[in-house]
Amino acid sequence: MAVVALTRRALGDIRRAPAGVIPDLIAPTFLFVAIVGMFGRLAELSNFGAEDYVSFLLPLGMVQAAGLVGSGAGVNVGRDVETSFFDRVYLLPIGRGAVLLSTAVSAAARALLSVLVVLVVGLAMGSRVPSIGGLLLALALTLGFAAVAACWGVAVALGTRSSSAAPMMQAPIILLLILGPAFAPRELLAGWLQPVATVNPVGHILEAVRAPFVGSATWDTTWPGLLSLAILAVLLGGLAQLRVRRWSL
Amino acid sequence: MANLGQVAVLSGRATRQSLRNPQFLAPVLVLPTLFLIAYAGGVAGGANLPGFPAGAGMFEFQLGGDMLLSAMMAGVIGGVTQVVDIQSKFFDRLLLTPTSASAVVFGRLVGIGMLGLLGGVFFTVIGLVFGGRPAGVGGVLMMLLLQVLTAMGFGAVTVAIALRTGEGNAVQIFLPLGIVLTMFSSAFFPRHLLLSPLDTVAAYNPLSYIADGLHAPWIGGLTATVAWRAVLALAVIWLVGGLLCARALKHRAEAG
Repeated sequence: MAVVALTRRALGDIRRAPAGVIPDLIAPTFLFVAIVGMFGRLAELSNFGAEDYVSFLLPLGMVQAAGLVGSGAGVNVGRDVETSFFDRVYLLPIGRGAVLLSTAVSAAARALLSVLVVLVVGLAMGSRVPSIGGLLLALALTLGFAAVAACWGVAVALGTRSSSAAPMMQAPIILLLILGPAFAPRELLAGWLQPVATVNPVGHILEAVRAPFVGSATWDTTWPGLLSLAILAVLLGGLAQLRVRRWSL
Repeated sequence: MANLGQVAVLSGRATRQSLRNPQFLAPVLVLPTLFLIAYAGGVAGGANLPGFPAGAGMFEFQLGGDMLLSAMMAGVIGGVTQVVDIQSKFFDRLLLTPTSASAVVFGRLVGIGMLGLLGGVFFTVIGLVFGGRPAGVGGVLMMLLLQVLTAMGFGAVTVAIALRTGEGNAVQIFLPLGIVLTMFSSAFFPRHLLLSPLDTVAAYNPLSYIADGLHAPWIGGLTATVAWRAVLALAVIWLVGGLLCARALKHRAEAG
């Protein structure tokens, strides 16, 4: 009940100030379109491994949108800290997990909007249309990543007690995203980046989301992404929950 | 005519103002470094495309683009610090002194140029450390000069917006806009390898020609044509920035 109420409040921003959502919609879409234009010729390389660059890059656009919007949820938590709303919620007789869960759920819901915009633009630009099952799997992984990124945003917001730490919330998420097979398959990455990409969990999530767009999703293409998402959820969710529990008024 | 002594004092202050605040340095140094890591590592295979500059690696090519981005960010930070001075009334107090208004603005622009130079030196050192070999001392000096002049030119635009509006939000919009303008140029990939319509946009974007001038010493394509095109593109940005600055200064002086 508390989770529902807090989630509704978090999503109320969209209704109260819809203009605030516009950057969440424009920035990831712009980045996707610009990167396709910049690096589209990579698909002409014989060892690229995908039919066209739009299909290859669309999952990055979706995951990037989820990461930006998800981690940005920390800004709202920071604002709640600054206005003492967080203190008042903390004093309520509700489970500590409700605060984090509601932020993660609302971040995933907000991210869905941005992800769908990128998806529609990508399909309009000629991306391969995945199967319904593949698309649902890609969306589930993407929104799961938004929720995990929101946990990081909450951890930073409660650590800094500020809403102006947005770069600290978003930059590490984007860094994890680009230190992997973001713009090209692993085989085409620079030598020093390949081992980094192998151990980078976000790269595995991205590849699992990408699979239905460039081929077909199988258990072999999906389990590393699911496992990576679970590991990130435990690590970042645990960190955020620790910050919530140790919050001092 | 701006008094050189006044310009020197004010530019020194503007430079220190930026150096003292890590949040002002991050966009100039950290953001382009992230782009360098992402693109030099992430699209390294692009150097194998037919038409990619012969003998150059993706890392060397990206250095020029990131230097341009760093210069653009220095320009944005210049506008932000100008807003800080306006909102703290420091700018108004300066105008009440015998200091000429043009010296105040030019001092700010020179400070922005110094921040641009810092970015230029930073990326030149990174390039050298990681194996890049620019075309001699002359090539390095040309890159640094382009870096300084680009920062000042773009800074003139953001300072003009700061003088006109006095609002931080109006200037900060140039941070994403600077990234957008850089991505819509040939800063990060050769122009003839961009997909349509981005290649056409890049051909009309003056930043492409400045980027070519910054790429050239790293990838071995430094020619007189590349240099004069870069100078011409800079002249366009300086002309626009200078006109905007002059009008904004007049507006602020009239508004009191």
